[in-house]
Amino acid sequence: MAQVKINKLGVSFGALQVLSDLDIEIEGGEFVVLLGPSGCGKSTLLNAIAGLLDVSDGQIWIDGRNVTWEEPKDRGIGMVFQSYALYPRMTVEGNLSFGLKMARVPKAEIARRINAAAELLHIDKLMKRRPSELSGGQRQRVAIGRALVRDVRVYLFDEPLSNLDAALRTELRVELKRLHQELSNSTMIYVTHDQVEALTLADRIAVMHGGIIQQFDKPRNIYHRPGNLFVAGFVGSPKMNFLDGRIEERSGERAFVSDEVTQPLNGYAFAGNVRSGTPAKLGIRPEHVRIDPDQGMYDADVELVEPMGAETVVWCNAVGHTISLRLEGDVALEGQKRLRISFPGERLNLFDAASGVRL
Amino acid sequence: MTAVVAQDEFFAAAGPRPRRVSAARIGVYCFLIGAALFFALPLYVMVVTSLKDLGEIRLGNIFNWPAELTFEPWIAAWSSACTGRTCEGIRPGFFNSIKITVPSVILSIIIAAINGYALSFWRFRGANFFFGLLIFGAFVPYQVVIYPLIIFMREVGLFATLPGIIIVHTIFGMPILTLLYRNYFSSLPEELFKAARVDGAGFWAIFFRVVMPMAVPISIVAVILQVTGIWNDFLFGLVFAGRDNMPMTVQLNNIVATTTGTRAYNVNMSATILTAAVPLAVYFISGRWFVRGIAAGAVKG
Repeated sequence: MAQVKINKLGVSFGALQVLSDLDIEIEGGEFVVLLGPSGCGKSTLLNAIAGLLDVSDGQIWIDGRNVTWEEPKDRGIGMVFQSYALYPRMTVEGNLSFGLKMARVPKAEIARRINAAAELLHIDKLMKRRPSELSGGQRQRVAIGRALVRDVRVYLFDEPLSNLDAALRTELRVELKRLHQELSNSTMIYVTHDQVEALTLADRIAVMHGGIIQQFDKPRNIYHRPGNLFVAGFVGSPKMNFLDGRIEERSGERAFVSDEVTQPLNGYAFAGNVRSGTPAKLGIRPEHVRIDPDQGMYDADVELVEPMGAETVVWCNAVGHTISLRLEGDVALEGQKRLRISFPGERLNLFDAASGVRL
Repeated sequence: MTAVVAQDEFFAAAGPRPRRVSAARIGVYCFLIGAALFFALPLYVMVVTSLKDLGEIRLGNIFNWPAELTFEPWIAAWSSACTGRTCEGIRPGFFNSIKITVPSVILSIIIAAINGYALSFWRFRGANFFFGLLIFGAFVPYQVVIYPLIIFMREVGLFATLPGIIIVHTIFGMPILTLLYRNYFSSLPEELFKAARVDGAGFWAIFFRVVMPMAVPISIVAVILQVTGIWNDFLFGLVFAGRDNMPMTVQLNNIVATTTGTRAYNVNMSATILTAAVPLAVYFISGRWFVRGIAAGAVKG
């Protein structure tokens, strides 16, 4: 079990400080996804862990060893890249064995490891081909195989599925998850900007923005209890609905109040003490908005209906905002111009308007 | 009337559109053929002149096909034409040119490939400054540096020697070749280089096993540029090669300049064609690559 520990890491390109004072501790055997928009520093962090970037500050520990100054090959890592990065002039076999030949592994051992990886990834029939003769999915399998044969404890993935089409991406995603289960004692760190990949693959997700880890938690908590406004807005599609207002306490009951709404907050689990009058943002996911013809609190004028097969997204104009609702796939809304909706208290998310932190 | 035709076409149109010869197209072809003839004419004159005897040349009909074919001028140009006092033809020059070109091409390409590789993948401190300096070298006129270079070569004892001229060609090929390789390597995905580093390959292993196998196309371009450039060089050969290593171009000039009695136009033409044969062969064999080389070297022209 190889633990990866980052202490006060700083990385800068010239005058541009991309990461500073970054700490993260990844347990052995864990599948951690670094999720964030482009330019958030997630790939930089991964490259720093791999040793492909010089760090300006801090330490990197892998498997109990301080590898901050070590070469990539000595860190006990394997890496898979977005563009596959297969050596174009070598066969699949050559690609898989290159690293082992560099490390002067005996021939019999090379053959054994290549066969094991090829079988695991179903590429055993492609061994004599060049990368240009492979499809995208096969290429990425070979790239994963090249990391596997290194027989290491930590695998790094830099957006490995981003170059594939949607169907292949889903297929390989499932395979990656299976792979992690089979190699149960290997740690995987996976960079992506695709939240579905993050939510499905990860044991824990680190959401990054502006070089800072916004939240490092289980996918379930990332989605249902986002720690701040950025995480709440970034994860989920369609985006979470937000309203501006303040928290007020009236006769012992707390409520979220704005010009358009007075939303009781019974059922909401506050993270701490909140003073009355605190400016706040209320967030609710599209699937949590409830259609309630009898007891609904707000009127919603239907503007647009997007049937997506498994679900239907309805965009309405309500409480002075555009609010999205996620409904069943076969819901019948024909002719309904106005809905009554309500926001269930236990499904709400409240954030401090100034700091963005969850209340 | 036109409406009827249009309607016929409307219903008849199916499958590939019929090819029509338009006036514009004919014009383009006429222009291209004319231009090709214009540029081919001097070559034609050279070839026919080289196949005539002097008596026929004196008649002055330079476009006429030879009345009596003779290969004597070619043989003379190759092995017996006089340059000054020696009468060995252009043959020694041919072998001198080979002795100069082959090592210069190999040496300059190896060094330039390593330069380009280091500049694009191992971004050391000051790499951009170094590259800028090298490119600046491409714009310095040769004439400016010849005299200092002569002094330098004399001081290190390489003036007028074969290694001397090889070094000069290697130095002057460096800016453009480094630019060529650096730009080519910069277009390769950096992740490939990262993958090789994770796989444990060092500077030389990545160069020889990963990068150079991918650099075959650009290396062909580099070979073409250098072979034609060095073979056609006159100035450096004249100045730095020394009497024993005079390249073919210098030898050709001497043959043309040496006159005893009448000017042997047919021998001069043959010698010129022989000298130009190597670059010409390179053009014809590798036309596709040569165009690429020109495009890649467009900065210098």
